[in-house]
Amino acid sequence: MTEPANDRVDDGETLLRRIPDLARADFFPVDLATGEKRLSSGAFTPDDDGISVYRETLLSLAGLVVRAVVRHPLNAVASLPASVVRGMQLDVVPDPQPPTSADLDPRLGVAHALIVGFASLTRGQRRRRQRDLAAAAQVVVWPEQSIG
Amino acid sequence: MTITDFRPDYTSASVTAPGGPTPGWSFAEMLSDERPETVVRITAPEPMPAVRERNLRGAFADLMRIAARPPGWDGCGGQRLSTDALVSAAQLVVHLSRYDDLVPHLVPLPTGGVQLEWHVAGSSLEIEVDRRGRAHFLAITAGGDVTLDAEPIPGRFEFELQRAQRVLDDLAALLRSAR
Repeated sequence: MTEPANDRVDDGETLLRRIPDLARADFFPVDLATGEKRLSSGAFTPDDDGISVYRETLLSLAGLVVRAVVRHPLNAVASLPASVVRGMQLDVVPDPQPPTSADLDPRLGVAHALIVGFASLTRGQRRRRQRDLAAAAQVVVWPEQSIG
Repeated sequence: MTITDFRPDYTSASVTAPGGPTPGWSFAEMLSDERPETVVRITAPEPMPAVRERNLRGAFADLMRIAARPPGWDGCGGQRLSTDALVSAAQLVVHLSRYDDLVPHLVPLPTGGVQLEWHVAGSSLEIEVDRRGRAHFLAITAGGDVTLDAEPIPGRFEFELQRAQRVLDDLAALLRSAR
């Protein structure tokens, strides 16, 4: 495996987003016609810094699996390519974090990154980006009490 | 619908369902042991059809469950649902509850707001309520056409609400045709 750069996130990298579900499938609304579960755009709500994600390649290098991203048994994890994010006129930047007791593994923080580029958008533009991110993401870890 | 007895510095509000100016039958009170300072009382001028009442009770139970979450509920510093957002969302739920089979899905937001969502055959209406209680309406068809993208300004809320209701009319028609 090629060592990923620390100062940039390559387009070919996979990003992992923790979905902080705690009960009742909050972030998985159901299409009332098809019965299909969707990932809510609310799962990609940015805070002042952006949207927190983890770089799968750095997780692998640290010997961690995707499930290391969850902090609670009912959390889910969604993945999407960095190239898709950049195709939405957003960006992904490395944002390594020191170990925190909230993470199940102290090595997780090195893989932290941020999806950025929301500050200059109107509310409508920002929400459409969130919706596009949710549509592009694939759930790779379902809550332990699976709703599927 | 009107909100009575509410100012931003108040910690309680009454929301009256549409249909008449006289609040009468109180059918839901949003109370919580975890959040005793916030009370949203839903009243209607008269009893409503059982299905609608059940759906509204379910939606408000979801809203109250979200409101009861403490700060940091998402494990990443997520903010508690603000009282302004709670009241605005309660208003929207009551206003947009014409259809028995179109019950909103409520999504907690880490920024202290909440999102109401309806999805039918790939088309959707999503209303984001931010922590200050300000709503933004976004409707997108299955084909990707944006049919509503609006943040009501003061004096325009009823107008945008009517547009949202028309989107729900379309979603209800879609749902009927899918069955």
